[in-house]
Formats: sequence, C-alpha cells, structure tokens
Amino acid sequence: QLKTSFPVARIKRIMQADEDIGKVAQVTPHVVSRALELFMIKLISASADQARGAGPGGSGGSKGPKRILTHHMKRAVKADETFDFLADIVDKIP
Amino acid sequence: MSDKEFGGKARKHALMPSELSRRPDLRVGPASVTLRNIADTVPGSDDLSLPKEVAKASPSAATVQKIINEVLASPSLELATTSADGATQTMTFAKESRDLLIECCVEFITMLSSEANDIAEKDAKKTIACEHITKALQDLGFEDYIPELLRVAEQFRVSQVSREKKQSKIEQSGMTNDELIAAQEALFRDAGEKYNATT
Repeated sequence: QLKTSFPVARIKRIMQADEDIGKVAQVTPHVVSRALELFMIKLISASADQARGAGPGGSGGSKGPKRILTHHMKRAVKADETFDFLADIVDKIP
Repeated sequence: MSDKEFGGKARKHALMPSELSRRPDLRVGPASVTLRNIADTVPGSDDLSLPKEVAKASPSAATVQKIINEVLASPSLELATTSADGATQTMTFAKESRDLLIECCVEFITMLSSEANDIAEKDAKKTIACEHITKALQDLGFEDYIPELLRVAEQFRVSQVSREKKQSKIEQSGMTNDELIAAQEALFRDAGEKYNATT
C-alpha cells in the first residue's frame, strides 16, 4: 500500500525489548510492520478528522494548512475503542 | 585495491548479500552482486528529540515522518483540501504530535507482541508465529487487518523459497569456500575496473 515501511530489524528489537518475549519467527516482524502501517494510517486519519472538525464554521484555512495537534490525537483515541491501549499515553495531554 | 585497504582481516567465508550491505567499502558499482533489501537503517542518529534508550528501541523519526507525509498526501484519505484559489493544502503534524505518534507506534508493537506471546505460550509454542499475531489482532479488535497481513506472510514465504534456491545453488556450485571467495573477489575487481573506467 504505502511505499515506505518500517525497518524489520528495528521492529524485532522493540519486540524483544520485552524480556518475556522469546523467539520470533522470521516472518513475524514483516507482518507486524504491515500491521503497524495500517494502525498508523488509522490513527493519523482519525486525528486529521478531529483537526478538520475543529475549525470554526467551514471557512477556516485562511491561516494555512491545518496542523494536527496532540489534543486532536487525544480526542481520536478516546473516540475509538480499539485505541484503548493508548489511553495512558494520551492522558498526560491536556 | 588490495585486501589491506579493506581492513586486512582474512574472511572466513564468502560474503552473503546481507553482509555486503554492512560493508560500504565493497560496493563497487552497478555491475556488482545485487543486494537484497537492506532492512536495517543507520541506527538512531537522526532521533534528535528522543533520549538514547528510547531512540534505540523505536522506529527512526525520519521513517515515521516519511510515512506521515505519505498518509497525509494520500488522495484516498481525503486529507488534502482545496482552498478557494485552487491551491491544494495538506494537513501537517506538529512536532509534539509526531513524537506522540512514535510513542503510540512503540506501544502498539509492544502490546501486540505481548498478546501474541501469551497466545503462543497457550499454544505450547516457544516461537511467536504469524498465526499468533493474527489471533492477537483479532482479540484486540483489529481483525480487519488480517486479510492484508496474510498476504504479507504469503509474500514472505515466496521470497524465502527463492532465497533457499539461491542458497542451494551456492552449495551445489561445487566450489570450496576459498574458491568462492576468490571468485567473488575477482568479480569485485572486474566490477571496480568497469566502474572506474566509466567515471
């Protein structure tokens, strides 16, 4: 789908940073990489939706392209059940 | 070019393509041995905003930025808007948002691995396999990802088969290790000469 993808070795390292994790099949980091890609697309889109909806009326944009801020991401996380595991991370954001 | 310029250490085996990617001094030009996907990027030097320990265990900021740009620019997601004068503007991520995104990515990987690990253990398996990952994703509510991921797994299996064919080709070449090394160095020399001749 996307042209760029995450380095497989880096993913494997993150996975094995957890001591409970033992061996990992060769194919696994590739699969995780794609899953991560899809997840990122979902989170980015949801955050962008929040940012778009946040502007006044429908005539915003005179200040240039909208910027996605952390509170947009927080709202996106709260609005979707599958993002529950991110609740702790976004809690520190006002 | 002599061996001394390469750092002098006698090689124990002919270099495999994956090792070549770590030896920039051996890249002699387009005529040389083809390199397989260089999966690992230069570690962490572009992670200016993250502390070293986090940087080592998180995706490179540059890669994340590239992906962000790709997603935001993607027409199918309708994230670009056209203003009154016809100019297209894409949304951007603030710096703190980018860092937050990276944190979320690491959390996703960690959580996924942890779930998959539990599933593998229940399955009495010591190695986390693809099916453990897909089951974990299902449990976590990401089941729509599964068809795409099965495709990725299949693609990988296919590439492994062709890789094994290449491995056995080396074994079947009938040459000893030293002969293989010599042959490879001869190829490098030739490639180097051709490259230098054209530059």
